Amino acid sequence: MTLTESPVAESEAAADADGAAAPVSPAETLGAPRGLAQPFMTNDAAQVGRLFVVASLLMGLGKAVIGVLLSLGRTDAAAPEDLFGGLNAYFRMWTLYRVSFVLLVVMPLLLGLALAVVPAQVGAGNVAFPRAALASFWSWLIGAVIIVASVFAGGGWGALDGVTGNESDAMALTLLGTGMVIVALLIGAIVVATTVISLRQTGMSLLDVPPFSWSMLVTAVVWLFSLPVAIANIVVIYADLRGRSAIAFGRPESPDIWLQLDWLVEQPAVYAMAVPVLGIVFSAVGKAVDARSSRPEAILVVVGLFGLLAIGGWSQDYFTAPQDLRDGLVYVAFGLAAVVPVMATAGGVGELVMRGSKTRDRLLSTPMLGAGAALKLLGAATLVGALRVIEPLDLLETSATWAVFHGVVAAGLIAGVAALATWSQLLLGPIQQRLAVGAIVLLGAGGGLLVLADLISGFIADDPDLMALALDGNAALNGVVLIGSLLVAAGLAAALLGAVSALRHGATAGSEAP
Amino acid sequence: MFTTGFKFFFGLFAAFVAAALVYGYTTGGNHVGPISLGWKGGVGDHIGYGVLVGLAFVSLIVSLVLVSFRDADASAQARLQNVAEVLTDQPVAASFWPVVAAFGLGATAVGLVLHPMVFVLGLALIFLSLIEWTMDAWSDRATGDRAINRELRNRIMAPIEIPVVGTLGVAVVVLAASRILLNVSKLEAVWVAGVVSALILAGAWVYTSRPGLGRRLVRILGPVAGLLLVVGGVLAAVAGERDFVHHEVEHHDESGEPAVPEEGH
Amino acid sequence: MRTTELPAAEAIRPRTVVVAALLATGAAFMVFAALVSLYVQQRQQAAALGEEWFPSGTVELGPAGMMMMTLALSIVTVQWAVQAARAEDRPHGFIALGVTLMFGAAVINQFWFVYQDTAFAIDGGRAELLFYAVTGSFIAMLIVAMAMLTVTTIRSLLGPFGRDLAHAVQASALFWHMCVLCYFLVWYVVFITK
Repeated sequence: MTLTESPVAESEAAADADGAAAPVSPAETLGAPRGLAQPFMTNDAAQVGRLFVVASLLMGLGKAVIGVLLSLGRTDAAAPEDLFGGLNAYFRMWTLYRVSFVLLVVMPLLLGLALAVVPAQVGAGNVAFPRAALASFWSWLIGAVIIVASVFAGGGWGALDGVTGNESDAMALTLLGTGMVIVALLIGAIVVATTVISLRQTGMSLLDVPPFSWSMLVTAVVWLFSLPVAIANIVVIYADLRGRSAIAFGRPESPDIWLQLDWLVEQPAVYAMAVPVLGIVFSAVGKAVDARSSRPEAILVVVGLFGLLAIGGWSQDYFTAPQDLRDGLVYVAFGLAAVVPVMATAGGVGELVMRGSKTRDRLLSTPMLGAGAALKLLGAATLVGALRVIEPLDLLETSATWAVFHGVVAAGLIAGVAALATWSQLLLGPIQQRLAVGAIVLLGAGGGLLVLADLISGFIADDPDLMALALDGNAALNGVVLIGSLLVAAGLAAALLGAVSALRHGATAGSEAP
Repeated sequence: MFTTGFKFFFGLFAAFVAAALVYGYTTGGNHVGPISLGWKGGVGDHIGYGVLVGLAFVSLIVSLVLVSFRDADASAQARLQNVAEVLTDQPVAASFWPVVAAFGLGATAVGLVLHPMVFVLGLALIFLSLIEWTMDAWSDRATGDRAINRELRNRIMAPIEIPVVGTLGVAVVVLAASRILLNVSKLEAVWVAGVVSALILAGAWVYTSRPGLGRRLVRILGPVAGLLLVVGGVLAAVAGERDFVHHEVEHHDESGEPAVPEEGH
Repeated sequence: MRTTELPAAEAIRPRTVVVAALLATGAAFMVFAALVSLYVQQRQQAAALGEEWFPSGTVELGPAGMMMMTLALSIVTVQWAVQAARAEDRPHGFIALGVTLMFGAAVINQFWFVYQDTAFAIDGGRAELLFYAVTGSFIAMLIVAMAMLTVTTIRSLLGPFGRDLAHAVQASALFWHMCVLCYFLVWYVVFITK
């Protein structure tokens, strides 16, 4: 007998005796929450996915505004001291912009899409651990709030003029918030990966999994293998900061904390948020032209290869002289090879279009436009990444680094919008075509301008200026960066508007083929 | 024979082994250091080499487990359970404990930096959610009847939850109300207590005289009043108590004149 | 009516929890792999500069070896728990889970002794800071592993000691084995080759 047997027996006997036991329907017992309780209690991963999508777009809009201000600070129109209250504050916002677009915008956006779409694609009713998915969202949101609040309170990832006592607490909070966000994303990644591996419907092998689900499995693995390295960095930095061991790893007058974590936003690790882009492109195009690839296993290989090349953490240049690592064979090989899977994806998309229905409506549909724009930007980013590792070009420690970053971020955002249009019924509801197309065009144009300006700026820079803190770059290029940032902000606003209006129409989950 | 999952992870393993070797030798490794994990000779840059070897090891383990599970295919899992087909949908009841756990994690992080009490509160929330989450997960599948499952869960947890939550609720109300009353002046405290008591009385009257309306009102105003109380209590606690001048016991000073007792205000 | 007379819950996917634990274990191992790599890199750098890492005689081998032995034994006891769960053998399962938890507590206790014995200050320098970062992270992982086993034990108290539970125990055991492997790294890197 177990602990629980006897009391139930007694209760049922009592209920039988007075005949008052009211039957409870399964719906009531499962207690699907309604109204305001829904975001706090939901057991439906699709709803958690929607929360992720809307919150990350909102977060993205805020960060895009910071991006506009940062760009403005580079022009002659306003000095950073006036805009942010000093170079240190400028540096804080500069780092917040970069970390946020990875951990608080693109990664959660794609994770949210996966939580809603993957179960339907593999034939499962829900994800493997819906409660863990909910915990993932709330931990991410709370961690994000801690990060943003602590950065505005004087924290951030280091200071240009060394860490003072007052800043130390706020910086410790920023570090803990970063760790919390990473843990939350890892929990979400485990949920998605377990769903793909263990909850596939009968008869569906891993080889038969749709491209987006496969790409999310690969993405989850990439995150699970590389983001923990950042946690290790955070542990050491935190101990260093709180132990006040004279910042054992730090040198006065230098942003050492940031330099220990900047690998997260540089290649190859920055590609980790772009792996699902390939899956979305294959799935969206396939659905748009109603065709399937003749070589599905090739898609798995292409996405898997890109995942392999997106694993970072090993390329940390803070503790060793950068030239020892970044000119090394492995770093160069990873940088050059990343172009291959993106080009192969372009080839695969071409094959799908050839095999599919080529009507004008289909070819000009929102998912097709989004897939095309995302792939082009990702291609541009990986090309710049390849140029960056070619030693004679001297692009390593220049703003070309941020050309890669901006290309990947814009590709991720556009792919997100394309996914919202492709699986509208599973996600938020029908998204207005004008808003979706507008968001794709604006994000594409803005991202393209940022990539171009950062790359040219990298070529013409006399000295390495990775942080663009010299603020004396080419005036015309600074103007282009400002326009690019404005377009990205407008694109994110259009995407958010589209998402909110789609939510108002409501989603009818499961009413369309994934 | 070799499953797709195995091929993917074993491919990662092979790639990372190759990368670790090349990385080791190209960043200063010598002799057979990179081959022997540094046993004989240097491995070059330790961080990159160590991380790549770690990646290779994890990929190998995952690949071996996946091939032994046959990629966790539905048919393989059904065979393991001796059933024709395993469910794809696993019923899970709605629960707010994941959110409590997330807030606990946040409180732990904030408390680690700002105040030990907040840190302990965060740990307590995490511990509490761990227990409750476990119970929820167990009760999802205690029997095949969801109503009975819910009843089983409540039967075990309600005797613990109700007194604990009740005690905590009373403690919060007493603490928050006392902070507010101690923050405002003596006269204002009387007014606050009087008005709030009158509002509660009026609310109780509405509730009893018009139950339908009263229930709706309580549902709306209850959480608002609770939130106001907590927020007010926190703000008052931060602002601190008003200045107190204690009544002194009447005594004679050296001159023999009785001291004039001062009044608190 | 007793719960045993009620319809049993339908068979769930047995591998789900093990696959999730496998992925979580891999992620946790990567944290540790990176930490140990960083530790070794810094020690190597100090050696190249001719600096002393730990003052001689501060880090003793005895307690560290004892912890290694304790954790090696725990590998057996945790597998004993898995086997007992599979065989639906409740008494052996409880004993095995209890003994494993006791071994975990013993290791934490021994670490407390090591901290008192070495008397390092966290702001004493690179070596001391990294010593605490690496060993502290290991203790945190061990506590998580113990929490997983505790949860499994609580669940086993509530219901049948059957197959469902066996998978949960298997998942906890997987994480436990990873912890032992991590300690092996600590033992070798921090204590042996100090």
